[in-house]
Amino acid sequence: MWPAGKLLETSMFFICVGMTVTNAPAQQVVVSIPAPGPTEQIDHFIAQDWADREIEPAARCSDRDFVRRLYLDLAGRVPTAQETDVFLEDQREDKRQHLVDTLLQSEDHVHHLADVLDALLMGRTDEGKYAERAANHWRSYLEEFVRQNRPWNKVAAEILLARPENQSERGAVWYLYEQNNNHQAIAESIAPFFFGLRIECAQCHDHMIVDEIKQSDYWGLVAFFNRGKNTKTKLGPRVVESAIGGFSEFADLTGSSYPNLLSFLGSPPLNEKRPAAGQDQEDVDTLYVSGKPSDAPRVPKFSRRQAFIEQVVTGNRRIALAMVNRVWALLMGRGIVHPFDEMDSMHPPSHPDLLDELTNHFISSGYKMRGLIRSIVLSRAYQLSSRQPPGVEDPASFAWALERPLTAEQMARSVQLAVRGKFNNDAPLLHAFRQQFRDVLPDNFVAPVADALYLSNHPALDEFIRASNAPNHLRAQTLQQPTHSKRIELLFNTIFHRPPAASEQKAITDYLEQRESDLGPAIDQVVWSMLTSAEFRLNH
Amino acid sequence: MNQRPNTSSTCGSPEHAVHRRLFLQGSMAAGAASVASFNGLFSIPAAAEQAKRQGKKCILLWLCGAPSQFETWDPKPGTSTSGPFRAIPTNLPGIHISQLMPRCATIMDKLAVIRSMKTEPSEHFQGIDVLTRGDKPRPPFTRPILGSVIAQQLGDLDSPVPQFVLLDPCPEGNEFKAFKSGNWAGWLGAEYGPVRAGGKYSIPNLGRLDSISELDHQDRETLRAFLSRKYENDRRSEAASSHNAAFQRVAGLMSCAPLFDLDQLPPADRERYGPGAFAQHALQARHLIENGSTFVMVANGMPWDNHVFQHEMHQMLVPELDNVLFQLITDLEDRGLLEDTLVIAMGEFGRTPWLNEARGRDHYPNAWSMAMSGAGIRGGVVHGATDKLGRNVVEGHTDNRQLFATIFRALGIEPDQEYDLPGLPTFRRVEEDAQAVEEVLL
Amino acid sequence: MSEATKTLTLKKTQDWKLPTSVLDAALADDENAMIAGCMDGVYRLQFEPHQEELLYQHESYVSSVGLLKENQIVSAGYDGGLRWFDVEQRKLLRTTRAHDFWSWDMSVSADRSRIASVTGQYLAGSYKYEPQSEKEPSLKVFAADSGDLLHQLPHIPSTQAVAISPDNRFVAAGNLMGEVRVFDLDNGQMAANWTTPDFTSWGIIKSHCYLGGIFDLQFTPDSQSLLLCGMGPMRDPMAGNGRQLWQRWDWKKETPTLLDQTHQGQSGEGLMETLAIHPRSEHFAMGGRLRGGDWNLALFDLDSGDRIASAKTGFRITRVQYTADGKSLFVAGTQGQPKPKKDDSPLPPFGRVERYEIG
Repeated sequence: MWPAGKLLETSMFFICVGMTVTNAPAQQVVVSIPAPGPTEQIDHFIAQDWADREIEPAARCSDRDFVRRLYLDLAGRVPTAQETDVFLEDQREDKRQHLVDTLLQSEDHVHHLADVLDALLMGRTDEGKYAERAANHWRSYLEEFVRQNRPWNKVAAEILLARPENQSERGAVWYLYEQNNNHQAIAESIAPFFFGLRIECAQCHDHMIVDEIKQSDYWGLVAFFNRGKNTKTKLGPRVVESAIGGFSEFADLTGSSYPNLLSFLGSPPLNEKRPAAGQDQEDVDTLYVSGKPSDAPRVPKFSRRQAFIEQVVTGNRRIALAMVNRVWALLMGRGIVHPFDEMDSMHPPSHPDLLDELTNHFISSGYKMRGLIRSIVLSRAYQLSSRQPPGVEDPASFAWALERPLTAEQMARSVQLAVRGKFNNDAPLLHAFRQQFRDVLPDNFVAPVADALYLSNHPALDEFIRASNAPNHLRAQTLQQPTHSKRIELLFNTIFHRPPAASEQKAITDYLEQRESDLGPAIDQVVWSMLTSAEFRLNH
Repeated sequence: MNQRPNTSSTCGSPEHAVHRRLFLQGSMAAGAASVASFNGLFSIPAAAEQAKRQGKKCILLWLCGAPSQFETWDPKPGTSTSGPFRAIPTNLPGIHISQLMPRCATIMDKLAVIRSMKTEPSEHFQGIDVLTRGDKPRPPFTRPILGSVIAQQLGDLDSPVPQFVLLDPCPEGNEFKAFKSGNWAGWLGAEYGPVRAGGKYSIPNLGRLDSISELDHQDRETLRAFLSRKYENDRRSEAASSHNAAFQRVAGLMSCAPLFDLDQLPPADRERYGPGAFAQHALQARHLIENGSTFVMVANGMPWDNHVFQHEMHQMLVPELDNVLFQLITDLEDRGLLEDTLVIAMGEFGRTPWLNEARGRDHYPNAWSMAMSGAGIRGGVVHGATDKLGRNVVEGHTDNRQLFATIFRALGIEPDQEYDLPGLPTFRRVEEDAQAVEEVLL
Repeated sequence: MSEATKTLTLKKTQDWKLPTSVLDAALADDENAMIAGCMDGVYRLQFEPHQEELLYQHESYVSSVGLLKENQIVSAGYDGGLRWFDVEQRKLLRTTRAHDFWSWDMSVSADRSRIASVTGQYLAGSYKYEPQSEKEPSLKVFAADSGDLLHQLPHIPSTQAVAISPDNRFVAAGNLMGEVRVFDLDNGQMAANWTTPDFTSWGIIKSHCYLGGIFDLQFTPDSQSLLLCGMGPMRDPMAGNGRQLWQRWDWKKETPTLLDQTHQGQSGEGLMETLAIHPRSEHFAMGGRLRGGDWNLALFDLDSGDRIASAKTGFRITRVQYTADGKSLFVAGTQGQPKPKKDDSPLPPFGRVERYEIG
């Protein structure tokens, strides 16, 4: 554990300069200093692990690498050539921190994080359902969560209770509502996103490998939500909760059956009187109180959803742990627990103390996402080169920056920016890409052949490049350059944010020289080849 | 919902890229002066690899979900747990199989059946892992799946036809779906992963865009490959290697699109194999093998997992399997291909002798059966035995390692060979010096 | 639930075990014995004094049993055979090979003059695994006394349930795909046919094929409508979690119409395999397996369709039958097979018969 409030001054020093502790002088002086911030804790625990493993991490990444990576991770897009130049020319010592703080305040960050949370929480879907998510204020609710840096525990409770009392919360209903009264699907979605656990296999039997996940957890979680029913009200869609019903039994593989008690993850089963088999309960008004506002649907006096919030969600450390691990995974390429939503006894954390401390910090700072993200991207591990150091094989060491494919939205915005200099979050290209590139946070990246075929033979990207024929678009700008060499430089600086290497200059010059007679389409070809190359497709 | 795969991590080794990297350096030295020379970048050197190739191939009928041994190869007539189906004699004296397999009963002299499989995992995901890779996982390293090993060892990398094909029309499939979205090729590298096709879920975007000429199509891909490989090599990037491997498939796939079109198979053959998706894809597997694929895995979701409706499902699935095996083996023999083509039919474990309340049989790895025929396999052998009710193996105990040693030996691949994985622990194709089942080998 | 409907109770008063699964059963006329069709043969289970006797066997499981005149019984089996047996003399009277495949279900007419049996193996008939057309007649009707074949009638395999109307004029059979065919017993002409999709699952998730279908059917006492039972559709049939479903159809309409079905909120999950109608038409009983919910045996008001009683038996029910006075219900079925400890040790008994008082 990190010694809170006390630190060896010398080791602090050596962490700062990036040397290993083994070089520390023999004489160590203990001094009292303020508790270290989360970034320092990350640096400490990660470096300690490197020392324990006796591995040398990758070098610090270049400013060019950093600016692209950070824009992708925080703003959901590549930087423009101009934004890159501004950063490269910034002479301040702490310019990386400045860029982090600027991007965290940007609207682009709001859209990007909302994209990611939506995909992870609700899942990818068809365009019709995406439109419904927007029309029913789910999307704007997520954006507001990010924009206002609202506390995650509060937002989680709003989403799970789905009983908005004012306009600004109304979008919270849509998470439960979209699942259309499928209470098992609701349980199977809540467990991984809010609690970092996969419980699907506990539907039919206690988890065979993970002892702590019981069949009673699965059916208990279902029971907390099984009195909800989608209802269209004057106030909009609501998941109206009944005061009766929802009692059933589940059978295990041997045929023995058990009552679905209101319990999840070892919470003591709630004391709710079960009617005898075959005895029907009467749904009388006295079981309810009126809703808020007054024209909202009535609310049961004993609300299972309310009980879930109070007994299972509120104060549950897992709510924080799951979010910390997920945000870490988003930024670092894999979770401290991997896979990030299987935080069970079969999947121990690679850095347990770090996960613990980050979670403590997340909780004590009021469950604020922005601070958590900031603390990670300012860490040394985040800012390593993506070149894997020789002899280091385990990605769980975080000894190099793990490459990740761009999400559909990152890819769509970045392609637009590269080719047209600006982007639109509602562009047809974005709609097309999110139907194809569905992964947001794969456990490991295996490029699908289907994606390669899509980029090669589907019209979406090809037509977008061809249609980018305005004077301020990349093709016209490139054609204006006096020489092939200058043209290639412009293409590389715009798309890859770096000058071309000599071999690249030569190969593409050779190609353009053969196509002198019809240079516009040839430039489109080069643009396609760059946009579909690994360098563009990956966040590195 | 989000298509998040549920798998263990990758091995993280970039070393598989070495031979391609050396080649690329050589080709770069020659320069990229013309469009024609770009195309040289597509090919991968066969070089000395050719020497060890014996032209052997393999079809795996992957009976995912796990079939019942009692309703297939190891019936227990007259016992309390036998189920309602009878046993019938075969063309091997004294050997009986389920009445649901009358056609296989006539070609038992060409089949080797192992009735004494005993493995460990009793859940699908872990069972699929062990029975397709040959061994338990050892995170963070990922052992390549059987098809990847065989494609790498025996495949013709110059062929435009995919060397490892998975035919599976089912887009869902619980644990098998999760498994399919994982890393199949493991430390061999993504280029040895499967191309997936099958049914209506067949390969989309296989045709070249009308808006672009064949020449332009090739040019831009050549440029893309050149840029991406430079990136891959400069960075030792495994992600880029995977990205490039995927694109490398595109040209080959486009050229052999007709092979993936069921409608182009001869109608008489289609009728003989039977109309179901599994049968049609088994025929397509034969077609792919004839046209240059090395390993074809045929699956149809995981239909064999009959915890409920066991007899109702097996009355349909087993006769289909019976006919498919019969047609495939006799076809391959008629075409002179059986000697070089290994046919394997198995799932990830067996089913319980006892029937559950829901008229089903549950998972059972303790004693189960599988069958093989063709290349390197001695026909007419039934290896091992189980006790009266089929609870335990009493003779010829065979585990996953021994099975894989047998499969590799049948195909002329050395089971004990170490993988060449600099920087990784020592891994062998089959661990612990497990011995092949000699009885079923030629 | 409508206010007029009175609720009832089901109270278990007696239980018996049989060595193997009871797949069908018929209450003897004196109501002191059950003829039980089991995995390993036909049993006579006498209640008072308790006595259990294996009468005879088929070559495979027994799927159905029925009572005939003069103390005879008839049984059908997974061997495709029908067997007539004289209980008094303990003598097998006749064996007829009715089908090449197994007999899924057999019914005896109310006047005990006719026997109907259904068969059919589900084999892949298309890429999507729609069933192949029949290879043998799916429905056969025999004379109960002579064993003569009276009709062989077409259906689509697998034809899983059969019933003869109380007026002995019609025979109805339901199949895997939810198709019901009703034939006139006088001339063998098809009198009605329709398909209900609500009992059949196509496995989207794991198994691209069909499962489920109609598992029992019964004419109402006026022969005007038909009750069907089974399990509602599932994305993954192997989960076995479709809703416990009955439907009531007016089959005599030009286009048969659905009159009623399990009411919303009154079903759990599980396959329902058996229906019985109260002797004075007060209600009907349905039983099967509990997969989710809190009952696998229930009584429904025959008019309103409301569930008026339910119980959980702890085993899969294969047959329910009222006593003649309508005050009791016999329930037969099976637990899962126990795991055998040794090869030669007999399995503990897992067939079940129970008696419930209706209060």
